[in-house]
Amino acid sequence: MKRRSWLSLSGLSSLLAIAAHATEQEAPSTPSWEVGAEGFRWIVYGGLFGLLLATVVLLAIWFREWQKGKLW
Amino acid sequence: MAEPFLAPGIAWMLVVLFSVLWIALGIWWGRQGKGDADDFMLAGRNIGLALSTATLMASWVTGNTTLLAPEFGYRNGLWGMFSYALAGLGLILFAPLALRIKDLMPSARTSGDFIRLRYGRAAWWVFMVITAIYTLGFLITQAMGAGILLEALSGFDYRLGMVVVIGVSTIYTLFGGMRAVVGTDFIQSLLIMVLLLVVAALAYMRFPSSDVHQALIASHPQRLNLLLPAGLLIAWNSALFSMGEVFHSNIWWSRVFASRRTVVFRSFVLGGLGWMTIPIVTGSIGLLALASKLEVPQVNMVFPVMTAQLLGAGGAALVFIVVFASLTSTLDSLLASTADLLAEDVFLKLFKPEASDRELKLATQWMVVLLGGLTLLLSWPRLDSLASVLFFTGALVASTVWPVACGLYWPSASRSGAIAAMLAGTACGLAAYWLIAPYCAAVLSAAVSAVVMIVASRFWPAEFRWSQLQEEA
Amino acid sequence: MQEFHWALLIFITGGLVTAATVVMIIQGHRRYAAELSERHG
Repeated sequence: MKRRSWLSLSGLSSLLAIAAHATEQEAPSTPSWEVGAEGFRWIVYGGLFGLLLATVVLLAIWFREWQKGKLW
Repeated sequence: MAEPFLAPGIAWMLVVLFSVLWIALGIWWGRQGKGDADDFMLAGRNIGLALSTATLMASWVTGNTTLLAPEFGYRNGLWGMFSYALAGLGLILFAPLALRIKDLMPSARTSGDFIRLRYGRAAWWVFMVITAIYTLGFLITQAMGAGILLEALSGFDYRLGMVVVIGVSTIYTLFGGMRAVVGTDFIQSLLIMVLLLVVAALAYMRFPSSDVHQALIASHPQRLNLLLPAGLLIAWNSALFSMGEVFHSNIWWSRVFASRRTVVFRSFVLGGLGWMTIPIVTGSIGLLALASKLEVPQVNMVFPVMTAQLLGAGGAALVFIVVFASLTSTLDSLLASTADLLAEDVFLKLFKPEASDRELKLATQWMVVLLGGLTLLLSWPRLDSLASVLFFTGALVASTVWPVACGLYWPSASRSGAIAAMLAGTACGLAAYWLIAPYCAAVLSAAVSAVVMIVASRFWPAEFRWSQLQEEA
Repeated sequence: MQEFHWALLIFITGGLVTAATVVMIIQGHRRYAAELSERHG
């Protein structure tokens, strides 16, 4: 691996370590981080929209390849 | 026993309808090719983007994705969903490897071919043991899943449900080969996606997300906690487990060889991304069930119960179709690609190198039948505890991630390095499974094999020439 | 607290292994893509 990737990896790990330390400092009991109503809505409807998009894209690709006779 | 969701009469009608459809289509598609071994095993090596993407998604949507993912959401909340969805990473990360495979080995047929040519016979044996345990575990859990699910959904006897699903998949794979698998996978994945969309959209129309969130905050705030210890534990496990599954298993390698070179990269990325939305959607239905205080007899029945509540008998029929499609589309892929592996790697390369094309095709067909029979036999006694055992194969398969990927990119990756990485990774992963927690088996296995691979390639480098991967057909 | 620390440790290890794998594959792919474009002029 190149030096850059080692650097980025060690950067990432120290970031995680700091984050871990921070959560430890802020909350003496078991820390928690609850997703709010807005975030929850994004997750739920995002997943639903993603599935819809995937279905439409798959059908569109199929239609185009079918028209060109390039399905297989 | 609990009342089945679907009247047995309707269930029978659906089973007959879809079985006839899959078998008829399978036979019809099977006749379209040239009829030689390559066509039977790899569908003519020219599959386009739509079919290639769909077959990846359908094979990756197992009975578990529709039933275990909601359970994960129900039990572990958001992290349960996310960690399940991270299994899509295996497919996405395989995209660059797939392109490389297509260029380095244009005429190869299996993942075993690659390991043998790249790392030699000894590594091939280690690899075959790992893949055999994994594949058998996978086949048995899918077959048992079929029996258990059809029993719970429609009151079928466990053995009857199993025989129907294995029988149908075996028959159309036997007659149509990879073409039948890929063709039916396309319809099966569309069925799964559209029906899930309908169920989820109706569910969230009745219970808007803000209501669900409010109810969860009031009664189960831990499910929304992103620092939940149980969630953090499982977070990366399925990502690394899935990489191990995808990188080594011939299910995915056969898709690479079967697809057109120009589409293979995009199909793995699209397939992975599209697949990731499915556990998010089914997992959030699990959370919705929890928020609406739905009573479920067994936790893995969250999705069927919810759907039956929302849509009545029609909903139960929809779930039945989704589950039937998920099971057959996974089993057919497993049967076809494992039969390819056994015919090519064991029959042709080990026992009968001089076999003709016709003999190879016949051997593949025999393997399909034998595997179907073996699966039936092993799943007959219904060892429920076996399903959880599949999780320990995470320790085995995750140890192949680095050997496979490095073998494709680093000329310095050596034979002994790969063998040591697979053995050490497996051993440490298994130790972690029993000594620490089942959910860190894949993580530890991948970590150890990565370190072994890096150290071996750095200090005892090999000098592999890529042209050695091209074997005369 | 104990349980949380264990979980966090495994979470970080898993994240690092995944990240390392992603980095390795991206680097390999870039080198390969560069080779390809060289070969085709």
